[in-house]
Amino acid sequence: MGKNLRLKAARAAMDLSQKQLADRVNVSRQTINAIEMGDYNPTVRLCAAICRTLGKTLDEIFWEDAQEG
Amino acid sequence: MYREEYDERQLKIRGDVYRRGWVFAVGLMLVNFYLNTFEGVVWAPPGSMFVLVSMASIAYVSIEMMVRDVFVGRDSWRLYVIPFCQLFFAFWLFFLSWPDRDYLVSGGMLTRSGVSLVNAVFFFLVGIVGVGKFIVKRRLETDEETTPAKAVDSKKR
Repeated sequence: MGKNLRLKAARAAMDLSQKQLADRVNVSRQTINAIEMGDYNPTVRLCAAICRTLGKTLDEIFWEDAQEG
Repeated sequence: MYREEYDERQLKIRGDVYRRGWVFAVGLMLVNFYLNTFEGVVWAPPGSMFVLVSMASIAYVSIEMMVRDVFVGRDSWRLYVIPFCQLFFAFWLFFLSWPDRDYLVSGGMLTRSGVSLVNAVFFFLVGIVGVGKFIVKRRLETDEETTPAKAVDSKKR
């Protein structure tokens, strides 16, 4: 699984640190880091929560073609 | 309430670690049973054997969880307190066994002081891994992970 740079870019666009995003979606900072590094595949529920927080769609952040690594 | 403390990734990893820990514990108990029953090896007082096998399993699970950042939940104070408590217990047990340091093993079997010392080693290992993880984590956390992106950019300029 490659890095999720779309997530990182969306988070930066919202001016959020990993910790801040983690707090908003009720997970640990390490989990957000693991998702961005491609080390963890989140559940759909968590994906939806992240997208809702960042104002993006699931396709924009988590669709496979969108991931770079 | 317990489950809410850990997020989905942490719960998954903890489940995997507990499963491996259980297998480890059962393996140790089987080895101990074999040594006791078929080889006649009694390496510690009977009650203490169970304690030491349990402590070894708990130490293994605790160390792996600390290394993988799933020992405690989000921002829990226990992350900082527990490792230091472990070190305290380690030194306390060590000093308890120190007066009898010449008699840690008797007749090929651990004495009570020897058992205390082995327990101290387990506590020390868990504590030192926890403290080390705490120190390394603090040093490796980059600004990007804890500071909003714009603040990082302005620092770089």
